[in-house]
Amino acid sequence: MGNTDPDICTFISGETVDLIVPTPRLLNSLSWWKHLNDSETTRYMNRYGVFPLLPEPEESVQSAADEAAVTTTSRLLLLIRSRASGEFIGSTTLSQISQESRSAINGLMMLKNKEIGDLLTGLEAKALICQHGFLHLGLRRIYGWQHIDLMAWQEMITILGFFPEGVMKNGFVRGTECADAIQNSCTSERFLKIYTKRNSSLWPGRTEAFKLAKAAMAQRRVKKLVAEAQNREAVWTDELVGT
Amino acid sequence: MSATTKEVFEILLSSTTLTKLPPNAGPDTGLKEMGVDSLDVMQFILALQEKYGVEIPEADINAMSSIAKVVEYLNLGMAE
Repeated sequence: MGNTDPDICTFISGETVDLIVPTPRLLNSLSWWKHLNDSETTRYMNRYGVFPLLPEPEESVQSAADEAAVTTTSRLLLLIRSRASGEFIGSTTLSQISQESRSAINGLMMLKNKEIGDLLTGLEAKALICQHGFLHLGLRRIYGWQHIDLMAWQEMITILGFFPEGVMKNGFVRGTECADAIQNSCTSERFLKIYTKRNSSLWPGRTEAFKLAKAAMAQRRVKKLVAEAQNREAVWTDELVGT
Repeated sequence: MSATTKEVFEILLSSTTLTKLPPNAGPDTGLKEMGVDSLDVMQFILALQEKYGVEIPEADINAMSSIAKVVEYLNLGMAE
């Protein structure tokens, strides 16, 4: 789809998605703040959907300005736009960018009610922003964590070199819900190996990514690792306190 | 071996985060309308492949928009 809208500025262009600069005018025209109040969209986010977010920062309990703060050196937020439909389907971030530790946290938010194949576009968006982080921000480590129910996603992101580091006990807390979370990361060394192998791209292409993701999910390596960690916790605790 | 609507519904419920079907959901109801999200779809596709041995390529994801279409797709794939 051609890009004739003067408010839409592509920052990174991919195979099926573009990552767009979220100017305040664009965010406003899309009423983006509403998505951050949606209970389904924010189901696995502990920061949003608790207090209402409003369009104007001074009116908000939480600051909507955080969401548009692409000009800071510690946070990069980009909107994900489908190249086929021109629709905005989510957002992705590198936050807590630290030039001291050369690390950042990657986040991804996919809007509800989009096409059933949109998870692959989310995966491509993750590949694009993380490649930018390693190559242009000089990061040595990008990491993140998700609710344990998102195990299938954890299996999928292994194809981009994001491997599980371990289980964060009670790492996800929201309201009355308290659940374990899985932390994952990719290092610059691992990124470069994959990037080189895939002809200067972390993203292997949509068709190949689908094949790789299915194979990774079928192997259930993350699931096995989590089960092992949970079993170890029980065994070690028993050793300390007796059964 | 052929896929049946009942079997495919069972696979949908056992492989995804969907715990129950919405009232009035039938074979022609869209997966999206039933509350299936994109992560569920990946898990559903994998479970179907493992059960029926049919390779489902990325290009066919959007064609599998309802249980009736999934059953038709699988039976065509197994007949080939």
